[in-house]
Amino acid sequence: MLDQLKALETSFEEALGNVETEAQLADIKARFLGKKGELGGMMKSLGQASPEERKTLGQAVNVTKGRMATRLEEVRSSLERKLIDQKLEKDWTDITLRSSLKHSGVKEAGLHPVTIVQRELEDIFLSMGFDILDGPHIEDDFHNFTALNIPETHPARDMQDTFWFKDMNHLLRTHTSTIQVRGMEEKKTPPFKFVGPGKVFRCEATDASHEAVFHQMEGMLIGKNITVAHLIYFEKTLLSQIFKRDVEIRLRPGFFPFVEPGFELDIQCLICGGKGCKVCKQVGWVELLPCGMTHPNVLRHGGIDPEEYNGFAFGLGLDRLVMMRYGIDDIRHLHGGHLDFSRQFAK
Amino acid sequence: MNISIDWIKDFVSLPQELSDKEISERITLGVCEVEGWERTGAMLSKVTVAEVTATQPHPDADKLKLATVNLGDGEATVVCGAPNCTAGIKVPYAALGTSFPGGFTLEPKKIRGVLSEGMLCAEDELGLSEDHEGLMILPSNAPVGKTLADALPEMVNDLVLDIDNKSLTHRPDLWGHYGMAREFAAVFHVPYQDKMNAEWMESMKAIIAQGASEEAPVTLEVDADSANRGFLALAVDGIEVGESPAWMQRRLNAAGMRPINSIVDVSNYAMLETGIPNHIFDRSTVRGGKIVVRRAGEEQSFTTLDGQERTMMASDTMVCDAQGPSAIAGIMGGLESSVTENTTGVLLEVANWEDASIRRTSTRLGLRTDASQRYEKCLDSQRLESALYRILELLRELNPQCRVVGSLQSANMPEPVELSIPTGPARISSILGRNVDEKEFTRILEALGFGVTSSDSSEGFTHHVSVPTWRSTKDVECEADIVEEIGRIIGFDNIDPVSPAHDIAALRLSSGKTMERQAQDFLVLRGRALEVMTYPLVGAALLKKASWPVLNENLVLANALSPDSDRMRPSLIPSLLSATAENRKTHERFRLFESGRSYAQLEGEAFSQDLYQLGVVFQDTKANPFVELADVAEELLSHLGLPARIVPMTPDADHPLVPASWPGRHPHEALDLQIMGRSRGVVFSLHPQVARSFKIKGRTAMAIVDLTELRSLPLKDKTSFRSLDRFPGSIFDLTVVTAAHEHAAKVVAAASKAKTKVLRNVEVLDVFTMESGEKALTLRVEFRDSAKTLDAEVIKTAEDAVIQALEKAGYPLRGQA
Repeated sequence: MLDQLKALETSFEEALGNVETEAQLADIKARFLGKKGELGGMMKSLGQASPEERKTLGQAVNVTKGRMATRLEEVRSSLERKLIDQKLEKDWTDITLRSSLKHSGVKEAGLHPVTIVQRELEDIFLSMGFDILDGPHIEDDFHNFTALNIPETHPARDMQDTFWFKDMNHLLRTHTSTIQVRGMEEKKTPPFKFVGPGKVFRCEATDASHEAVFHQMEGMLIGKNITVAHLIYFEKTLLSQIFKRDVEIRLRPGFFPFVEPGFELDIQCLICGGKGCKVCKQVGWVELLPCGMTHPNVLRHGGIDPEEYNGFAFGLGLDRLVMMRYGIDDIRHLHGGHLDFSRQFAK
Repeated sequence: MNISIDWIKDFVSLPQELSDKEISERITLGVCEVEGWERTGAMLSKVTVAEVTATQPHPDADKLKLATVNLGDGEATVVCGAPNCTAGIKVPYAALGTSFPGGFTLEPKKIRGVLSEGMLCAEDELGLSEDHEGLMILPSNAPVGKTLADALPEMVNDLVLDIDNKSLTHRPDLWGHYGMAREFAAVFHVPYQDKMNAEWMESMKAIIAQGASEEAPVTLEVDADSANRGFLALAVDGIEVGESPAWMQRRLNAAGMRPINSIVDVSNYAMLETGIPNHIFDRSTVRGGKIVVRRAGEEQSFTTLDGQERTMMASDTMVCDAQGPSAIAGIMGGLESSVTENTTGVLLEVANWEDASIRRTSTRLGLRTDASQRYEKCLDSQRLESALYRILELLRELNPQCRVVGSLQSANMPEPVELSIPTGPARISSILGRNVDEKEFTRILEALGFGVTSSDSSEGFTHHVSVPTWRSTKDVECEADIVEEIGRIIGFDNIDPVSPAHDIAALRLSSGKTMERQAQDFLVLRGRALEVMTYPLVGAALLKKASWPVLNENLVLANALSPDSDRMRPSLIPSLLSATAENRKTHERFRLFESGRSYAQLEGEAFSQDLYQLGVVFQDTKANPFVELADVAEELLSHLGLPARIVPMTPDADHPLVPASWPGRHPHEALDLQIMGRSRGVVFSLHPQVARSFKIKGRTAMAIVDLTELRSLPLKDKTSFRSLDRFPGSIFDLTVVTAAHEHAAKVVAAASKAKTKVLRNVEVLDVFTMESGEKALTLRVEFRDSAKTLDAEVIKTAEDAVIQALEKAGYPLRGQA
């Protein structure tokens, strides 16, 4: 009887091996497991056996039945999968034909390189507690010159440097230093610190390294008992962040009417480490930013008592940083409006 | 400007052990920028004295000679092209292998087929001057075979510093070696030997007094209205014009000036030393025995000594004689009054001129001279006298036989202005962040020529610092200037960095900046656009090409670089059209945006307003990019938290960003973005007519959003939680018929007005055009009550209300029309 059961299971497996359709599968189910199926017949014949035998055989039949039902479900599921996959084969998509490959696709989207670098600087300043301010491009004589201690006779006021409007009182700001004045007017009472990034305008002929419209970032920190030592510490921290490594700096005398003492800040050449190379013209230092202690006259014009408060200011040339970072060889690209330029900085 | 260290050493003894690099660096860190330095005599120890024993023509070149030279320890044949190469002269000889300034090394080379065994040198090749006229002729007693350094000890080895003139803008006193030497004394902590001290002044006065018995041959008349700030003149006779001595020529060369003749050289030498320009007239050209200083008075032409004819304006100051102008004050002398070989009597002029006037005139004439660039810095009139004495001293050295005629003529000399600044070492220390004691304070200031006296005032004002006249013309005026003097001599690199004290203050990016950044990011990530920058300056031609109705005539520059960028743009649109046209040449489809400014001209004092705007362009070939751009614009405003109504515009509707009079707006593809109650944005398709004038093919959609007022609003996030729906809603789909060009938004709005409380949402499910040409619009309406399940009756009533509302608005159900 057990041999019979084994033979039945073998022929069941044989039948399953040849199944190709759901109908065939249903036939097999009826033939072996159905009410009138072969396993059912075997169950009936058990009646003739002894009670001990019946118990042993009954268990064997039930175990076989369970195993066959599981196998039947396995085959059914894989048959269904096969049929679905056949349908999927017809519904085929070219998964490599993405927008980046297509002529009609929008390939790149991204920010302008000046925006990228400006934001990065803004974030560094923000992390150091500097507010980010702005001011108008069209300024008056007071905010661009007088309030910054630049006297009537100063060469900067000449038509050679400054774009004047026909009323000869309004002008295009020649530096973001105007934001010093705007900032003091807005903040009123020290202590405060802020930077002002933006476009500035100079009446000069353009070439690969000169633009009539370019970008600067002005900074100012005003408080009590601010010293040159603070300025040096601050600039070192700032520049180490900008260049993402420790930098050596030095201050040397420089003349700007709105600071006194005024400095040119040099950074030790990052290419040669100060030994002297082409980039630093063998000097080992590269001139990077003008800075200094805010002139008392500037504080006065900003409504701040220079006997109570003092501080420092500095200016960064944004375009130069952008050009240095990306190796851009012509400043005129920045305002060119060309996609072929902008797309190179897209991500 | 070049500074000769040999010259500086007339006034200070520098420490022996200083290297060239140290000298340059300390001056850069303490005084002004040294851009480079050079050893002028460096070549002298590399070349030797050679005697030309014979010359013969080069077989293959007319202009070359073959010179046989005696080197002392042998002979050599050298190919030479100098016209003055003749037998018998002694010249500098460079052997093969000698390297020259500029990196050139002499290698064995055939010149037109003949091997030259070395090179005979001109002065410029040895870095002695710019002279390349011929070989440098050495004295006949120069020992053959010795190096030039040994043979000619007077041709000293000099260190010449190249100073960046811009770093001297504020220092009128540093435009001569005399003033510069004082800085060296302070920086290197060595005594300053002021050769033009009181004793010397007295001795010079005594010499001048010898001429006082005669009447002055030239008198002065200085108009107080002119740019003059003091005028001195002295007549000297018995001059012999010749060549100036070697030491003087060498120093002039080192300072970058060409020696001319003994009188011109004295004039230049005195200027390079004292920093104060002067003029030496040939007195025979001074007509009427009189020098008159006055404004030109009328436009006239004047020929300067370089032979150029210049146009003078009425306000320019001229130095004249009894008959007419002989020099442009402070800038350049005239051709007629200059010294010639035959000059015997001269008039020395030392004067000072108002800085701004000189700068104006020289800028206008495009004539910047050694004199004008010094006067521009605002020189000290108190130094005129010693400068004149120094010229006289030099003249007497070169012409021992010369004599002063008449007394020193002086006019318009200003009184010295006393300037004393209260301060003290404690105050200076507190600004520098480094301790400066009284000794250091006094030492530094006195070394720089300041006077220091103590006072008993309180609050740190323990001293009075009196400012020397040569520093008080413009440069030093307050305590901050004293801080700089002390700081730079100590060396700012000797101040240890200190972190400022922390103040606790929270800070966020301002709302305007945040809005701008969010908009840029959105346009990149969602809009898939590239950011560009275009010029904020435009020209009338571009505005006219774009048919832009506003030309911003009040925002035109007085000194534009070009008519194409002569005014502030009234809108981003023309700039973006221009960028679109340019990019369309190479790209068919693109998306770009600019976060920039345009400028509105205002009436009265306000003058103008900077407008912060976003401009977006979607460019496509045949497909209309308008709706996609409108979607981006709508989502952008939502992203920025700016509640907006978006309304289709009629062709004649005016809009602050796209006036009705501008023909570039599409007649029915234009949406007004009403943000916070006002028209602050627009999305439109470009009218083909304007597209054509820019040769833009394809379809262009643009969006402009003005953030000027919005960016200063505090950003508020009004998002709040609402309970999730607990009871099922009901969906009702219905199709209505509308006119062919009816906006779907109007139909949705009509359905939304249905009089039922359970209407939750209306959306367009489908649109199609019927055979009749009319449009069938299928809407999906959602009903829901948040408190209970809707029963059939409520749903039926709500459905009827929607149908009724639509019918009332003129949109009947399909099939019932």
